Amino acid sequence: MRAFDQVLTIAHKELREIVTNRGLLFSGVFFAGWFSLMTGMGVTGEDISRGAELDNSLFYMGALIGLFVGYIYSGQTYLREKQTGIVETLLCSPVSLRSIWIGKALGVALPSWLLSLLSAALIVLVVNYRSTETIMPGATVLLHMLLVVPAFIVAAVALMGFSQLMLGMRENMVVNMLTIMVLFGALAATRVVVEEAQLVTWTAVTGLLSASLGLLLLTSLLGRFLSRERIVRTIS
Amino acid sequence: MTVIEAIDLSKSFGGPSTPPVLDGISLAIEAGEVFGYLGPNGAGKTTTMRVLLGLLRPTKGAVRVFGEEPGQRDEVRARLGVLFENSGLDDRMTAHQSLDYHARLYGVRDRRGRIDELLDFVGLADRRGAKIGTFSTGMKRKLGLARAIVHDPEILFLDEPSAGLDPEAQRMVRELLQELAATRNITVFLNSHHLDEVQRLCSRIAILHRGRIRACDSVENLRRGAGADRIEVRLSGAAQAARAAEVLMALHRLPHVGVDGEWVTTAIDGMATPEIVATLVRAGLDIEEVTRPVKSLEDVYFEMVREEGAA
Ligand SMILES: Nc1ncnc2c1ncn2[C@@H]1O[C@H](COP(=O)(O)OP(=O)(O)O)[C@@H](O)[C@H]1O
Ligand SMILES: [Mg+2]
Repeated sequence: MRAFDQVLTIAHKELREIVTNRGLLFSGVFFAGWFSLMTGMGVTGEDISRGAELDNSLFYMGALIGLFVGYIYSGQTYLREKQTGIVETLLCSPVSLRSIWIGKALGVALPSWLLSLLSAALIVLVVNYRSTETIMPGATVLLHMLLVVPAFIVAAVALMGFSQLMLGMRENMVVNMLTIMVLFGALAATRVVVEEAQLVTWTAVTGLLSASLGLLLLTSLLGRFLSRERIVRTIS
Repeated sequence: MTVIEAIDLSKSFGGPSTPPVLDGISLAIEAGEVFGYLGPNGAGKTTTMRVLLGLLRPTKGAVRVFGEEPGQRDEVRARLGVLFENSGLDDRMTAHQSLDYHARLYGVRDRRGRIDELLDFVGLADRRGAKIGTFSTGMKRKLGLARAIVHDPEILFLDEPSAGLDPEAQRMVRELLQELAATRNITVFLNSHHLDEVQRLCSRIAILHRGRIRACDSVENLRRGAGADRIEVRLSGAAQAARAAEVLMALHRLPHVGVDGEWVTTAIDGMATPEIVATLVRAGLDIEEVTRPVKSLEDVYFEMVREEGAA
């Protein structure tokens, strides 16, 4: 019970910092807005195929935008606190390492997910604005946004947080560069992926859900390797 | 009751070829003590504190806090308060938010009352709603101190609490610590290279140099102990003093005899004090005063730090 309170306290603190920090909020909203606009404008097929194309965009971009925003916010949460010494003080408190790590992941994942929902809504709006008929996302993609995407974001943020806590500054720079390259690569591939095929099938959604759950499981296993010594020794 | 204990503690950061940062540290600190851990930069003070806090594991030897290996149980950490040099505060939070955050994590009950009391104590009550990012280093340190004791810890670890502060802020922090030590039964482990601060606050100190404890005692004993091998004799005039020095040197048993005005100083490893005095009286000299020189802590400190440095 105590551990649960502590996780919530940490998550709440991170969430409040993101929401009340104009710079952070703006960069997240700007990024999410920009990419959803671009995506919405890109849905240009025949009206019949637009429904499928919209679903594809949401399926792909929903996860990706959440991931990107989570990436931006996690650096502000884990890495910044590590470098400024806040984490070291936190490590002396009666909060387990796992609680610190998960609390922060939840605090980062929630606004990232909300922004990805916002992006999804924006994409739907843009597509409808440019269409003569009303085009609504399918049930599969809704389920995807509400269930799979948050699990995916939590797992991904926790993984990024893990590496930021456990790796040295130089290693983290390399990991950051790679993450950015992969994310931009994925964004650049958007059009191809979205137009190529029927992405959003039950199989695809269940597949991604299983992958996310697997990632969560992997993450919780990684929790065993968290070590105060390792974190403290890689501060500078 | 011993609350902090280090038994032959060593810590290395590299392989076996790199010299250890801490080399055979043994310490025992009793409940209620204000213990000063004194040493120059790089001596290993912060590293020792990290090991005691369970942030780092000993390479050799062991440490016990409340009789347990630290860093194992949350319950033990809940009884400790910590203030590192960087104060451990988030610039983006307000003073009140920061204290409330920590109070929640430590499960403090009457948070509101406790936070008001602490903000009052450190003199920041009127800045409770201000962002910490707007605070001076001194204010941050004071708020950091409030944060460190929000849960009323039994042991308070302080890492260079006055580092980077101007003299005015240094005094304020020192006075807060003095008041804290006087009014609460709290054990304090104070890292510092600030001699004056340690001398004013601590009941006992250890002098650390290059990962080894060079001395560990009360300030009084250290100062007296450092002069134990010398005496100073005041005679009734400079001429008498010069004559006394000649008499003592003629004995060929006292290697370091010196004169300064009406004072004669000598090392006493060759002879006992009563014997020296008797010799001078027999030579017809008028002795006004015989004392053991008491050195300042600064002298003692630099002697230990230099001696080791030369070795
Ligand atoms: N994580 C680390 N890795 C390698 N060396 C370290 C590490 N932390 C401290 N040291 C070394 O240990 C020595 C003692 O450091 P420290 O305990 O910070 O000294 P102090 O606090 O007395 O100034 C220094 O030489 C420092 O470079
Ligand atoms: Mg230090």
